[in-house]
Amino acid sequence: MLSFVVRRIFQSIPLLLLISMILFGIISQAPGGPLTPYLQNPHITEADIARLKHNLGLDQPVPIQYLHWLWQVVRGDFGYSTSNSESVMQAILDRLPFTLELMVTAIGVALIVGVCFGILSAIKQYSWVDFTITTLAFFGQSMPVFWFALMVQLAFSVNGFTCCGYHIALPSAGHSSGEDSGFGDRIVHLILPAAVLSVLYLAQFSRFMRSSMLEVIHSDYIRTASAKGLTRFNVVMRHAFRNALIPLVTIIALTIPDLVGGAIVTERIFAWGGMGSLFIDALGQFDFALLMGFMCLSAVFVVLSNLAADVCYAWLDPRVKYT
Amino acid sequence: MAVAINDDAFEVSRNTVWRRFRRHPMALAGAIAIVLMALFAAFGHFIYPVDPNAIDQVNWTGYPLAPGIGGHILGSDENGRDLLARLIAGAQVSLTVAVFAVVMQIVIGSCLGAVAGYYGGWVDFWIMRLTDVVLSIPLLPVLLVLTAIVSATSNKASLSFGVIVVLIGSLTWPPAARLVRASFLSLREREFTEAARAIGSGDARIIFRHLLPNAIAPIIVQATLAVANVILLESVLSFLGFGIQPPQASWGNMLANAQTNITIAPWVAICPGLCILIVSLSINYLGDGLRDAIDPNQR
Repeated sequence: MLSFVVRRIFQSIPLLLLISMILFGIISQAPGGPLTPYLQNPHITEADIARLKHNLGLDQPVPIQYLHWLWQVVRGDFGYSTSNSESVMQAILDRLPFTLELMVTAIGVALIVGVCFGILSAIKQYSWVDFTITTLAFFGQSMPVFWFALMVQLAFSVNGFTCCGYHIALPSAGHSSGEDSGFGDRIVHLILPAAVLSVLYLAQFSRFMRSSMLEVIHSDYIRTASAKGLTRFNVVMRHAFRNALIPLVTIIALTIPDLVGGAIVTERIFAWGGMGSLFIDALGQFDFALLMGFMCLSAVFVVLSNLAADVCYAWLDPRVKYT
Repeated sequence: MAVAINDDAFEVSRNTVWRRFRRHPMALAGAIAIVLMALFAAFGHFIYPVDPNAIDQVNWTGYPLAPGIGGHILGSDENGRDLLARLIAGAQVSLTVAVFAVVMQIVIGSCLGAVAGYYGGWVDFWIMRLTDVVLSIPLLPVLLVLTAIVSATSNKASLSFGVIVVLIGSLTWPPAARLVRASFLSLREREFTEAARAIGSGDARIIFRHLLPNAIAPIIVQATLAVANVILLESVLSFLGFGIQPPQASWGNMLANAQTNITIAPWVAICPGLCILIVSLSINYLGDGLRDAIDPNQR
């Protein structure tokens, strides 16, 4: 087990190096490079630009620049973000809590509701409950997220709606009303973006849970459990549910990278100001170091969560062998 | 022609496929909706011959026109351009991009997967490592960076859908490659492969004439579902301003400015999104029905 994990970690190092090389190669093709913000400044002469280029090592060939960047990263320094005027690490650490707040809420809600929906529609297969849930899942899967966000804003935020005699208009932008706003205010701001995001994840989770549950329910040991005379609740919850959860590990692992990458589109529409907005702002100015940092961080999480999924899978299901 | 399914070595005739497919009313409805949308894209501008980029200078006052004003059936967008004509133009762009990107993705994926699965050994090892690398690249951020670089280095107008097709196609092929490789691993051990080799067929002939037709069922399903994903991906890129560039209409970039006017002109925001939803929903239903019909083991 331990040797399997260690070997997989060592295997993922060349993978990550290769990915970072490709990403660096792509970004270094950007016109102007990291000096783009200075090019528009009339107080900075061409001589200054040339000097800055030389100081930052931008006049050197791309492979040398890459090695330079890699050496910095190995020492824990992701460079200086030109669009935020602070270190990349600082910029990311400033925004990460907001993204985590949004994503953990959305994925958490989607996971709980999705698992329940999946079980319901599996044990009531072909009933109207199953039909409704499956239809909803199809809609969630096919929904263009930015449009769904706009429609939700239109319905609940632009004109507001009336509920229990109160007129409610939920906030459509930002993560709070101000620096020192209270807990309630932040919750209210969280409702719409988290709802939009969780519907998308919900669709995935419930479809996956349904098919996994169906597979388990038709297996021999479930028939045995029923034949022993256990109640339907016991059969479903104690025997089927636990085993049906195992394949879910894979799909949960696929969503972990989103925790740091954020939802670029949803964050943009709700002006959330997390990692997604950070990335789009950096892209507009070709903020070299920040783009590199963001994408490498995402790639690291993709690779690590795949590894975690494999390990968990083998640990939960004794039939799976480590290879 | 018969389609053999994975390991079970039982053959399914076309009639069986059609009978299984008919059991899915939603898949049938999806297929009909897709055909209608394709007709709308292909012939819409003959029935409704309005220039999608022309600004209505008579009626336009700086705000979107309401449906019906000045002969605009669905009104106009915030620049006074006819909304229905732009929906037709957008349908052409979005559907073409999706179809070509998926063709590219499937061709790359199938070839690499076929070679990896057929030859095995170190060829397989390196192709699969390449697949791992492409799979681990964060798709949306990298696509955004690539399109941003292409549009900054060339002049804006040249970021046509050709570039987007190539970028999307060359980053989304790994699932197809894995799928084809998996079927090839078992197909290459079967008797008919042995027989083909015994009568002296070359590798290329065995791969393309004997193995690929037998691995086609999961590829068709994968391709169908991929169309929906690519339509969503293209619309997201265009919405963020990094995809199809204005004035060329696409369903995604028609929504880019809709947010600012959403209080006074919700229909400008509703129509393009509804088109995307209808198409991708239909394709998802169709793909699901197809999977049940031609490849029941996949479920």
